[in-house]
Amino acid sequence: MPIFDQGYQHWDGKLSSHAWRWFTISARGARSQFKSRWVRLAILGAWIPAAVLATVLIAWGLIEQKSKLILPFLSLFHDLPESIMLDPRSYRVTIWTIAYQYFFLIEMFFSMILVLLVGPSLISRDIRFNAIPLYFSRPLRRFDYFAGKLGVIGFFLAAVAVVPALIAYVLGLCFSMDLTVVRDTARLMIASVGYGLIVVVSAGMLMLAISSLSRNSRYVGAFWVGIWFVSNVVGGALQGWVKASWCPLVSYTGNLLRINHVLLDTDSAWDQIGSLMDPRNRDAILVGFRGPTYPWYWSLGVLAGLLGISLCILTTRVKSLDRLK
Amino acid sequence: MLFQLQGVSKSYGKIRALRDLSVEIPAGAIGLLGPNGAGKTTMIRTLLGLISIDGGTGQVLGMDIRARRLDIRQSVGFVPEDECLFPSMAGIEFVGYAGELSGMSRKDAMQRAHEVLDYVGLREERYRNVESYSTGMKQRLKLAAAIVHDPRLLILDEPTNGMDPAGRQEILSLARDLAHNKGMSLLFSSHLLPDVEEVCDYVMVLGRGKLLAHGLISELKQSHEGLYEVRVKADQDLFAQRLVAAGCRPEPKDDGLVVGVPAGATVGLFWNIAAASGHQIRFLRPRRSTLEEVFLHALEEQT
Repeated sequence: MPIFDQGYQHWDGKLSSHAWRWFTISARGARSQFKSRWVRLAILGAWIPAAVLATVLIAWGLIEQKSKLILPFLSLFHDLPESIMLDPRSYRVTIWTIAYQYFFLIEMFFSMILVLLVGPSLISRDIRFNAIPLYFSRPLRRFDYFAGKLGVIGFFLAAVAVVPALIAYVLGLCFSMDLTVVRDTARLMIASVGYGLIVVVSAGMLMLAISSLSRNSRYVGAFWVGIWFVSNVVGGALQGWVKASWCPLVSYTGNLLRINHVLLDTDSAWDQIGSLMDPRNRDAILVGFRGPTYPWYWSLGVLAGLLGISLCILTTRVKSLDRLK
Repeated sequence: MLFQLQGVSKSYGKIRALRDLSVEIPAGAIGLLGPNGAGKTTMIRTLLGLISIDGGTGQVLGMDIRARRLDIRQSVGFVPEDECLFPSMAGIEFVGYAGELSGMSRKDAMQRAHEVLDYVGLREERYRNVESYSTGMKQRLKLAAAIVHDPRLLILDEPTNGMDPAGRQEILSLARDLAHNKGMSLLFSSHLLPDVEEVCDYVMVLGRGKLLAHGLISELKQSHEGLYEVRVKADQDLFAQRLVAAGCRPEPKDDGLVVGVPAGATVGLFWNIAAASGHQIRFLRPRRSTLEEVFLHALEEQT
């Protein structure tokens, strides 16, 4: 009999609450995905538009203050109507809104790329390696499992959309040296967070649902590309041929961007810009900038429908009992 | 009491997996026996709170199987039969992750993972990716992951399936040590009766969703009054004739005899007959049921 048995020892440490078990799955998944060089490159690329956004907001703050720092760069703004440059503070919300609109438009590409890189393996590999029983024989609910996997996608989308948007906002605020900026632009900050949440839930759940349909991550990736690219192409083609107001609804990213425009209230911003234009050409010029004008709740309906389908697929495909032979 | 079930029923469509199952099992090393389709896996799922039962009630470690599913799984470790892996992880990460999923902090989980991997005998291999592990190593890894949070009950579902003799013996030794020296209760489901006999003290036999037999293995393997197993060198038939002449009832079994002796006769009778006839007794013991006989007898009674 050894004096001290170095074999099995009992453990009586402290356990975390059930409420945070999903976070373990998210943290583990995020760490694992971050090892991929392609994921790191995509994140790096996604921060370039964020830097441009921050630069625009900072520049506008300096223009409002008529700072000497901006003087060497004023020539870059020579295309702007004179009335804007004479009273930049009146156009603060408009400029910020349009900057955010374009930021999210570009970030949509990076978001879809990141979902493509990170998402396909999340559930498909668990099914392939029969890991589901290992999860559900632990003190975890299916909700924890799904929330954990969604958290991985959420982490990366937040890293390229929400966090840069918020950092740019804070930088813009700091360089404006004017507290009224908060009053004027708080809506943009809230809209950015809200839009980020919508993208995470919609794209995340859709990707998880597709990931649960196959054991092979490559098929899942191909399916995602189909949803993203093909729906865009078909939506664009239909707009050209059918020219009906519902045509943009076919595009998945088009629906997300329509919600984005509503949340940011881009229509008001473009209206203000349009008021400075020649009324005869105004509508023709602005139609390309405004994007689709069909009712936003159509897009919300499409996204809600996709979310419902995703939930149905997930609850049908990921059943602990079927996997526990 | 380790667990108790009262009138538990579960059907999958027309198939009745558990039929009014009632049983009370004490703490310790419990063997779960039954042919395919007996309801063993359904019973394990029920104990883990993974399925909703159609009727009945039950408790595991004093916790209700309907109301406290997560608490039960917190106190139970489970080693599934199938090859299950968290993909793309080293062994140490695998066990640490299992600990974190059970609520341990990352630091505690990693420290504990090293301890249990030492215990199951995975040394430097713990730093290799789990996909490269052999069957035996995967089984020990799953065992380590199941005990990382120090459960009060460990459920092993066919843990020695597909393993070579050495690996099988290692798993059996670990299971036996956990149950007999570390105070962990064990539910050991297996088709291999010698494995159950080696690890467990108590056994329950299921058949078609019903409890056929349960009890201490030592009691189920009861001795048979007045029956002996004997094997002699040379002419066994002649020895049998001498036994008949002495009033015994010999019957051939395998390469020996099962002999019923007259009332009041002792084992000395065999030595006397052998000495008189010049036979050498090579094997002699009172007849006892094997676990296999207990198992087969329980199934025969059901049919």
